[in-house]
Amino acid sequence: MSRRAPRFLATLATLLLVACNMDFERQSQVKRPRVLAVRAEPAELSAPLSPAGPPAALQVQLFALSVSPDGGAPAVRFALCRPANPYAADFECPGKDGVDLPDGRLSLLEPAVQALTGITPPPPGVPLQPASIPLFVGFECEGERGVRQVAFRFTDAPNQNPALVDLQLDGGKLQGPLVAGEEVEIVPVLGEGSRETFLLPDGGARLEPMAFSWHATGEGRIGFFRSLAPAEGDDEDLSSTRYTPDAGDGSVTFHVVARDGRGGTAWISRTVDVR
Amino acid sequence: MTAPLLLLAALFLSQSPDGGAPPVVVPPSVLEAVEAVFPEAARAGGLSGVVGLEVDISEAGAVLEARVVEPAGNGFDEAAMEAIRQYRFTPATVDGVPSAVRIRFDYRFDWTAPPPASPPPDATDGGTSPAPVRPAGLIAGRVVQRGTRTPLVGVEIALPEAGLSAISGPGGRFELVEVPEGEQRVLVVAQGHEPFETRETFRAGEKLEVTYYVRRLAGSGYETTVREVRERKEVSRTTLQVTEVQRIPGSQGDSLKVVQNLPGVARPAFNGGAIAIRGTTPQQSGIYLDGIRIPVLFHFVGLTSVYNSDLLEALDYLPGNFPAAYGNAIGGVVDVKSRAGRKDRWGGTASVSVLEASGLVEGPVGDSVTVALAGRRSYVDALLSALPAGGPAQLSVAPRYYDAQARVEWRATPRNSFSLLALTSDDVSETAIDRPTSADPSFSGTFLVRTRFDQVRLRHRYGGDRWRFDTQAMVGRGGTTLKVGSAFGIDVQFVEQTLRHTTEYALADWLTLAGGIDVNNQQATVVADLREGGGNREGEPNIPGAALERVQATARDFIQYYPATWLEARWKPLPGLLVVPGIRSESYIYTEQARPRRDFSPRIAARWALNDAWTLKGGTGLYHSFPSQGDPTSRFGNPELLGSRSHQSSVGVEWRPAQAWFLSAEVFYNRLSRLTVSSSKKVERGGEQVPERLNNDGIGRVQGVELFVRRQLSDRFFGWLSYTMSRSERIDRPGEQWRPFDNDQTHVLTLIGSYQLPAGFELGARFRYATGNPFTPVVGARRDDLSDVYIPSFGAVNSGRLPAFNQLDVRLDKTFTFEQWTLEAFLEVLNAYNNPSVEGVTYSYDYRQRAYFSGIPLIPNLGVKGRF
Repeated sequence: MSRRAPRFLATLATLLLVACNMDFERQSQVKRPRVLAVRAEPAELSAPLSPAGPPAALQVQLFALSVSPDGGAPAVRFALCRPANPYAADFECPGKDGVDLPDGRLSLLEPAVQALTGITPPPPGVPLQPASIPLFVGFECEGERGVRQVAFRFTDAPNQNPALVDLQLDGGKLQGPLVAGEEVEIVPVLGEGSRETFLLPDGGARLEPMAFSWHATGEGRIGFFRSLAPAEGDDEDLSSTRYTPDAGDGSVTFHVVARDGRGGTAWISRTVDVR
Repeated sequence: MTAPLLLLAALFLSQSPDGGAPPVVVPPSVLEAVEAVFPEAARAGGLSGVVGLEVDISEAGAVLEARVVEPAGNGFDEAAMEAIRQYRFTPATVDGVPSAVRIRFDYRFDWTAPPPASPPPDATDGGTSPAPVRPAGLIAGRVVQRGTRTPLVGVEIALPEAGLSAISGPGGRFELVEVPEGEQRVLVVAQGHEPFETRETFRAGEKLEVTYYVRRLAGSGYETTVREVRERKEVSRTTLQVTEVQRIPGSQGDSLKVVQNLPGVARPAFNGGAIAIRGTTPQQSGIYLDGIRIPVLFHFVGLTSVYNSDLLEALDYLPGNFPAAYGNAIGGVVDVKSRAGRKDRWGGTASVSVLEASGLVEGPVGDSVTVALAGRRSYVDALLSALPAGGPAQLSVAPRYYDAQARVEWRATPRNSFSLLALTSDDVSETAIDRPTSADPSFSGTFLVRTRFDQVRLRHRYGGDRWRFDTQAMVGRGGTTLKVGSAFGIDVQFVEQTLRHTTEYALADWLTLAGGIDVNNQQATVVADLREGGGNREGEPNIPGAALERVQATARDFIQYYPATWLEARWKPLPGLLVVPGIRSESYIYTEQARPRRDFSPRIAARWALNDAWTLKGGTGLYHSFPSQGDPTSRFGNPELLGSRSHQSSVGVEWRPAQAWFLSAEVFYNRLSRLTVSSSKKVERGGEQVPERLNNDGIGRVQGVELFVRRQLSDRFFGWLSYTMSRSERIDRPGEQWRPFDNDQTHVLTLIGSYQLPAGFELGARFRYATGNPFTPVVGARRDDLSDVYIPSFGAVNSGRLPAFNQLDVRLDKTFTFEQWTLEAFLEVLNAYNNPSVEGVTYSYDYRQRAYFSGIPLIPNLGVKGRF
């Protein structure tokens, strides 16, 4: 197994080199129309294990955080993909390999969806074993494509989306103007109950590993594109990022996305002035 | 006045066991010297001269034959021949067995003016009184080389004013009696050394004990390099003597890295330690230490080797068509030969460089036992801990490595020797990264890399007139741990045992039979948390882990058993022609295998020496390498995998236009089949449909031509030219097209030169050119929303090509020679004209932008080494 080591270390070195040395557009920069996140509401399709469980969720509404540098929200097209490798170069979803989802609504009750996936919702009251079926939704925005996995789970504890309620600046309210060249710390604030505890396959319980992605318009620099809510038993809060405004930006809009690692997504956007 | 000199190279006529056995060679020394008669004509003319002789010495130490190879004329040649025939030597031994040898011997004639005539008798006594008895002294001592303390035998020690001289004998010892009282000039004349002159004061009846340290001239080499001419039964074997190659620029003094400069070896990325031979992966070649594989050759994938170069004797490089003694490889073979501790005295080395410190102590214990202890430790961790902390990455355990070796050699009888070799190596680095990388959010947390192994080897060798035995047993343990936060983790711990035995029997002068067993057993426990199909195999581009399925598994006490037997004949049907047919039977047995598997590997090689200068060579045969590590397990691979196969063929020619020059040209073709490749199929195993993961659908072909021109160390210059033009291709699945191999480098050129300057300086340079490696271009990408990572889609595998590589490394050595030790300092500049190599392609987060990323810039490296 150690034969993997050289290639693995080379990959690691490559990743670090990419991070350190190349003058590429950064993922945290909003320089063109992009889809920064897709949220399903509710967070997943679900059916209860027993009649005593919560009601089934056989339909989800998809929302996109689509942004452009000028503050616009470009249109996003969704489609449910046929079962195949959705990342393959010749795979087109939306397109020949998917069924369009008008208005971003995915319903297991739709015949076209059932025909594509072969999934028929179980009749109510039928006992089920815990299981998860991944469905892939393709999206397209101004030529850029992406894939969003939506789970259809048999469970009595369906996942919930987190809530991202505020951004704080250096421990206080995020308000401008920011001073060009002066680094500030920005901290996300999650809503109550956003981090759920879920069961692992071995029966253990784990707190959701909340991850944040940071984006900003303009030329300012975000220190960490990704950050993490503190792990269980860890006092160090790693959920913040640092931001250094650029003199040329009259204002900057932050788009922050929180992901719970199980399909739950939330985001928040805030605009502040820069001087 | 004459002075015979035994020169550096002794060319042995005898043969020795092969297949991984480094012979212990003891050169002959002068036991009984006879002074040649100085030719009268030359004396009258005041002439001096040196006669170069080639002398054949029997197993008993007698001179069998002598030839003048560098005549001096003026009657010197005849006088030298007359004298040398009366010499007696201690027999040379190979592995403790007295052996016939051929040596180069220079006989030196130095004319000195006759002593002044005796004064006339005192006239006042009428010439009747007896001549007064002059008070006399005695001088005794040794002549040794300055710095190395190597005894110099056959050196003349002269007191010209007294008209006295002596020749040093064994141990460099000499004695002169009846030296007149008073101050005398002492001259020591030794070929290859600076004239030594001093003045000594003698007193009547007193004995003067001295040791004279004579400085070697540049170009003579400090270490005596004894080259045994082993029977050549491989199509192509290059043997590098460690003392020759330690100063090659770019190798950081590491002899094992020098292999990367030989024909057939691809240029390693990042100046690392990968040895990819003739278009195969490094794992498909065999890296041996004394005929037994070692788990890891380099610390941290190429920083420095895990075995102290000062405790090595030589290394053999066999790029293909290797003999049946070697197996489980479809590429080439590198067999590193360790050496015993020195038997003449205690000594050692101590060295310090930017990265590490190492040391070696060796010497005799009694008459028949030698001991050598070596060790090395890096101190990068200490240097880094002194730096201020900061940034997202914190080193929990900074990169640290160490290794140590101990070898005890016991020559029980002249024909039997035992050795015990223990070695250990350990690398560890742990880095805590508290924020996920932008490129892959699964890369965060603790990055841990640890590799270690321990081995103990016991060896017995017997060398008789017709029978030779070589038996080694090894027990070892080791482990590799890789952990990348929560994204990737694998921990492999293993124990292993190896038994290797070789028997040779010389049926006649024209036929020797050899055979042996070669058994390796490994028992491993694997705990893994992997991303399935992450592109960790040859020909598979890397895919971000976020898009891959996670596989968590444990395999305990997994056994991999590789028993093999082999048989070989060395047949000389005609003068100069050697034909070596052989066959190897190799089995591979795994815990979960339905039934044991076996492969037969017949092979044949031939060498035909047309004359002293030209040799034709060729060979063909089958070679196999077997699934190992996680591949033959159901959890990580496929237990029914077959061994990969190579049908290797090659023909070539060698030319030795002069003693120091060697040229080899070779054409080769390797057809590969049953290569292990990834599979997405499902197969039935144990009545269930399970992922096949791996199968043997891959095929390949490698073809090329190699050229090697070598100038051995003689006078002041040493160097070589190595050039390979090759093409290595693969088909991973039926119906696919040929594609280039990951390390396919069409042209690889290496030029090495090293020149010894006056005053202990040596200047060397290495220039390399290599075609860039292929790469698989990204043709698009789409964002995976849950991981927030763009997943690339790829074009044809290895359809892109990186720019070519060229680099110059230079090295300057300075040796300070003290009486009893030497201090060697070096400055090495890697990439002297600062042309960073292109090592790969990197992309922006969404793969819209791309750029090459570079390897090492100009890097200076400093170090010092003391030898005592």
